[in-house]
Amino acid sequence: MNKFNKKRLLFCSLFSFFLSFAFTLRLVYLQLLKHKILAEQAKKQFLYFEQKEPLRGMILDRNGTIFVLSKEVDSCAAWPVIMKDRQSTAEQTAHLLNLQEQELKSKFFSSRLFLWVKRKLDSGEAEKIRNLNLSGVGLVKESKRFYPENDLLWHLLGRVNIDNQGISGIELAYDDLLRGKVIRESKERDGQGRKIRKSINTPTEDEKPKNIVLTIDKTIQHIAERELTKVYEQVQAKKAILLIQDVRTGEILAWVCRPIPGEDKWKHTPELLNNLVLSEVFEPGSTFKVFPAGFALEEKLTSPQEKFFCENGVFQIHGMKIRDHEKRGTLTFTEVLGYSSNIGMAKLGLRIDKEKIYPHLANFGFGRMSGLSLSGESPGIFLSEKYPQSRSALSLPILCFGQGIGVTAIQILNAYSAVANGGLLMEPQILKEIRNEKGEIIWQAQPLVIRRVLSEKTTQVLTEILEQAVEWGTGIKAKIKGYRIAGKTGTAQKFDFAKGEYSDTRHISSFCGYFPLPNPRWAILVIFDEPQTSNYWGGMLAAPVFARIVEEMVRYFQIPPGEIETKYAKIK
Amino acid sequence: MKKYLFYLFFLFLVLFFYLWQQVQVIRLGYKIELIEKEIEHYNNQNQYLRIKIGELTSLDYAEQVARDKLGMETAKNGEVIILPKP
Repeated sequence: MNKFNKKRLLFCSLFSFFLSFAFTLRLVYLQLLKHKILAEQAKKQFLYFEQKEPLRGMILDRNGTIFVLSKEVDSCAAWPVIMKDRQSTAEQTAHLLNLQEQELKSKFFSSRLFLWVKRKLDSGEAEKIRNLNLSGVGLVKESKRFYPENDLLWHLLGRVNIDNQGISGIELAYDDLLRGKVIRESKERDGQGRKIRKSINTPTEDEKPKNIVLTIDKTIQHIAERELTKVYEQVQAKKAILLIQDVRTGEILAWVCRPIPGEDKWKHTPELLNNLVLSEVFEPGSTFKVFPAGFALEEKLTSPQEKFFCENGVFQIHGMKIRDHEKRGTLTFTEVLGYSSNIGMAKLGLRIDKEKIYPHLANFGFGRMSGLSLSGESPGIFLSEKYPQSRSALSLPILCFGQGIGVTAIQILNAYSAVANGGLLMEPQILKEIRNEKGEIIWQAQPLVIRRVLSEKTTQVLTEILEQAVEWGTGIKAKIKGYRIAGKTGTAQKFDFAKGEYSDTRHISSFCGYFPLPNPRWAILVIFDEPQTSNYWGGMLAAPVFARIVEEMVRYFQIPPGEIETKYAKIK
Repeated sequence: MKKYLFYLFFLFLVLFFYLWQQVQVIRLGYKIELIEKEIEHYNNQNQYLRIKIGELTSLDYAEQVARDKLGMETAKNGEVIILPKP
C-alpha cells in the first residue's frame, strides 16, 4: 500500500469514526436524555383510547316479543377549528338537517373543539351528510332506542334520555342491567391512520348488558289498551288506569295508563312520566267495601243473610248524612254489597273493632309499598292506621264504604287477587326473567306469598257475594254469557279541597273483578278519573270495559264456557 | 470460530422470529379490526331487521291491515265458541 492510499484510508476511517461517533452521540441524546418526551409524543400519535358503550339490552314480553331494542345510528358532529369555510359549512349543514342557519353559524364561529349538530339522525339525513363530505363536519356512531310496538306499554317501559340513561319506568329501575359497562380499549394507528388492535378487552358476563323479560303479555296489553282508550277518549276522562294480574302468581299481564304524552311533549312535562298505577293516590269508594266485608265475615260479625235496614237512602250518623244512590229499605248483607249500599256498610262499620280492622287492612297492603322496584311509587294514605289519634267516630263507618283512605291502583288489584286466590296476598311481579345476550336465563322470578290475609272459607263466601253483584247487582254490565265473574263497582266522589267537601261533579269510576269462577285466574281493575259524562257510575262506565276485555281474554286463552246458567236467581 | 458463527446464526434466528412475530401481531391487529367492523355491521343489520319484524308483527299494524285492507271485524260475543278440550 503506498503512502497516498494509506492517507486516504486513514481519512475515510477517521471520517467514518467521527460520523459514527456523532450518530452515537445523537442516539444517546435521543434515547437516553430525550427518551421520555419523545416516547410521549410518539404515543400520542399512534396510540389512542376508544370508549365503547355496548348496545343497551332489550325489553321483551313474557312470550319473547320485543318491546324495546337499541340500534346504532349516526349523529352529526362538528369540529369548528378544522373547518375550511365555516359560513358555507353552516349553510349547507343547516339546509340538509333542517336546522336554524343562524343558530348553527353562531355555533360554528365559536372556538369550541367539538359540538353536536344534530343527534340520532335518520338514515336519509346521515347519508346526505356522508355524501357531502364537508370538512369539520362528520358522523359519530351512537345507539338509539326503538319501539316496534310504538306507544304500547308506554308508562311501564319508561324512556331514556339522549345519553341513553333510563329516566322512567323499567328503563330507570333496571338501568344498570340494561346498560352494561362501558369498555375502554387501547388501539394503535399506523401511518395511514388505519386502526391496529393491540389488546382484546372482552367484557365479562357481568359487564354485558342484559335483556329483561316482563310478565306482560303483548296481546292482552294490546286488547287492554284498545278497550280502555276507546272509552277514555269517548268520555274525555282526565286519567284512566287498567291493570290485569294473574291471581295465583301475582304476575301483571297488562299495565295501561292514560294519557300518553306525545313524543315531543314528554320532554317538557315530567309529571306525565309518572306511573299512575303506582303514583296516583285516590279514594277507592265502593270497590273498597270488599275488604271490611271480608273482615266482618272472618270475625263472624255478620253473615250473607243478615238483614240491614238501609234507612230509605239517607242515614245520619255523628252529624254526617250518609246517602245511598238508590233508596233501599231492608237488604241482606249480600244485597248491601250487590247494590253497593253505603248505609249498610256504615252500619257494619259501627260494630267492627277498630283495634283489629286497621292492622287487618294494612295486611292487605294498604298504606304500604307494593314491592315493585319502580320509581315514583306512593304507599297511599292510611293515616287512621298509622296514627290512632287521627281517628274519629266517623272514621270507621266511612272507611267501610271506601272514604278516608287513599290507595293506589296496584294496592286495590293485589288485594282483590288475594280474595280471588283463596286468601293469599301475593307480591305483584312485573319482572319475569333476566337473560344474557345469548338468550340464556340468568335469573327467574318465583311467585312469592307475602301472607295469608283471609281464610279460604271467607274468600269463598265473599266470592259468592261478589258473583251476585255481577249477576244482578251494580256490576251487571261486567257479565258475559257463559262465564262466571265476581266483581265490585266503585263510584267515588273526589274531594274538593277548595270547598272543603266532596264534589258533586268530579268522580272516580271503577270496577275490579276476577274470573273465571270457580277457579279464578285473572283479576282486572278499570279506573276512570273525572269522566265527562252523566253516566259516570263505575257500573256503567268501567264494568263494560271489564266485560269486553274478559270476552277477548277467554278467546285468547281458549277457555271454554263454564256453568252457563247462573245459580243465583235475579232479585226483583 | 465455528462456534461463534453458530451463536451468531442462532441470534439471527431469534431476532428473525421476533420480527416475524411482531409483523404477525400487526397483521392480525388489522384483521381483527376489520372483522369487528363486519360483526358490528351485521349486528346493526340484525337489530334493524328485528325492528322491522316488530313493526310488521305489531298488533296495531295487524289490526289496521285486517280492518282496512281485508275488511275484517272483531267477532262479537257468541260468534266464537270455544270447545272444551277433549
